[in-house]
Amino acid sequence: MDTKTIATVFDNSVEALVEYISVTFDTAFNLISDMIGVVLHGIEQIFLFPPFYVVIAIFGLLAWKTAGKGMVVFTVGGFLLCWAMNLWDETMVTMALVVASVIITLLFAIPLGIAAGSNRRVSEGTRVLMDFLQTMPPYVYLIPAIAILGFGASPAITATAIIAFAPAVRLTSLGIQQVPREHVEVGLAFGATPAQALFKIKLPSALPSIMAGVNQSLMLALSMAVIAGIIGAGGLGKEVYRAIRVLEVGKAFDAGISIVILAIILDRITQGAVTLIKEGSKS
Amino acid sequence: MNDSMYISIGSYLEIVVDWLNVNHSEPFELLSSLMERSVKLIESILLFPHASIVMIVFSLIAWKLAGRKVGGLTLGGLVFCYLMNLWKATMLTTALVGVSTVAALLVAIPLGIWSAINPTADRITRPIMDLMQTMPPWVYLIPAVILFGLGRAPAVIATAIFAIPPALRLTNLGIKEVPWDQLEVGKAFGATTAQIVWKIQIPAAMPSIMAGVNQCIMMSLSMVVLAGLIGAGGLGGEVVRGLTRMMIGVGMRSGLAIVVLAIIFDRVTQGMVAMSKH
Repeated sequence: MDTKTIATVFDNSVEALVEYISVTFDTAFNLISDMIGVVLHGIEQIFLFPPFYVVIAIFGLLAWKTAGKGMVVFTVGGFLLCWAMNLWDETMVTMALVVASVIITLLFAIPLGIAAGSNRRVSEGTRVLMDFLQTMPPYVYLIPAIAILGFGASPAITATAIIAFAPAVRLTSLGIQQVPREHVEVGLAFGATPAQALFKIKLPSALPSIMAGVNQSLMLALSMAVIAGIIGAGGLGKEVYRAIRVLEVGKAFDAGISIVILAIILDRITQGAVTLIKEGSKS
Repeated sequence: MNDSMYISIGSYLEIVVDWLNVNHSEPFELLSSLMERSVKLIESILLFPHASIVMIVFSLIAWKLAGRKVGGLTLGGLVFCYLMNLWKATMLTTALVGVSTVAALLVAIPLGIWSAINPTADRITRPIMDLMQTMPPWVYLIPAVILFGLGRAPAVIATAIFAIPPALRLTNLGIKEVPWDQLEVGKAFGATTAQIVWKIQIPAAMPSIMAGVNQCIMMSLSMVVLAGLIGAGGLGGEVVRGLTRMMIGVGMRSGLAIVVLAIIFDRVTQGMVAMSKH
């Protein structure tokens, strides 16, 4: 039997399996897909409904609060440039994709990170899983996602959320593990319930680490959201992909510049938030 | 609102690029053909003998570098790629990763050493590395395609540039962390600056440099796969084919081969890091 036959058998069985899964769990996947669609649409509206200058002003304020005056100039200037290059809608769609994926990923990652931070066995298990997740090139996640959810925004968000999962779990668990024992002891001595100890002592003191995880997740999500342009997620990724294929040099550059601007803004604002929280917890 | 209201920075860059392409294309063509030929050469070396010989040679190298377990893993992984009818694509991807990693290290290690011993160089490279690491990998493909066209050369060049920052940073860190007293001993025995760098700092920084090589290879692999989009071929090309034509089987098969390759590269280079510590 030559390798070509083996490959064909493999391809056919994968396709049969995927078809079986997607037919059997059709309702469940449709539900998930619809839910993701609703979340994404809602977030998109938040960014697209107000006029661009309102959104820019809000981000400028955020940058001022977290990262100082220099960053305000960059944020306002950068976003104005995106608008001026006629890429405002695309930029905001990408932003919505990133925010939606990170919210979905954090919903799972933070509880898992807390569990891993408080229980040794869970921690061992998640570490193996995270090592595996992080060895794979990001691209690979798109394949099962479209196999099950089809083309469009839902598989893009699912794949992006999976990519962004690992750093958030790791840094949450690290933050919880690094809470000084005495702090928890003091809380318990004063008769705090385990839930109170978690929400009032452990989580606040792990917050800088959790925020660092959010920053990492956002950056990974952004790089993935752009890649996801090829499977039909909208935004800047789609624009880059389109422009490269038809060799519209100028347009491809414009979209590339917008991606870099978005990356820098998201990175600096969340990094600023990390420092802010650290300083707040010291004083 | 009509189109003329908007500005496009890209259209100015397009003029610059066009001018470069028309008037000063020689250096780009030289670089491009150099990369193209290196990839071609390595690819033909890897594909010339029978697959089983290549598998055995790679497994022995992995065994030597990282121990028996990794040797076995390598053999199993390569047999898997062969059975999946992806041997040619796997070898092409290996060649692409190899050439771009070497190109990246040729830039990153000297710059890393230089920026570790020269504060001015450090001040210049640091913000550039910060910016480069903020940019999503995709972005590197755009100028590469525009200057070098589609195919393998732009893929290798974009990959090499993308993979520079971690190697540079870890080399820099390794050199800076060499204990002070070791340098003092060298100086006391009358070593020249060059001798101190070559005989004390670099050997002592070896584990960190090797960790940089590991990072560089992993980033190269993820980028080379992405470069399937611009026609670089290999496993990335197969993934793109699977994704864009809804051939889930092909996509899954080549995706698995990429994971296998990633695990092999990672474990072998991590084994090298561990060895360089002893």
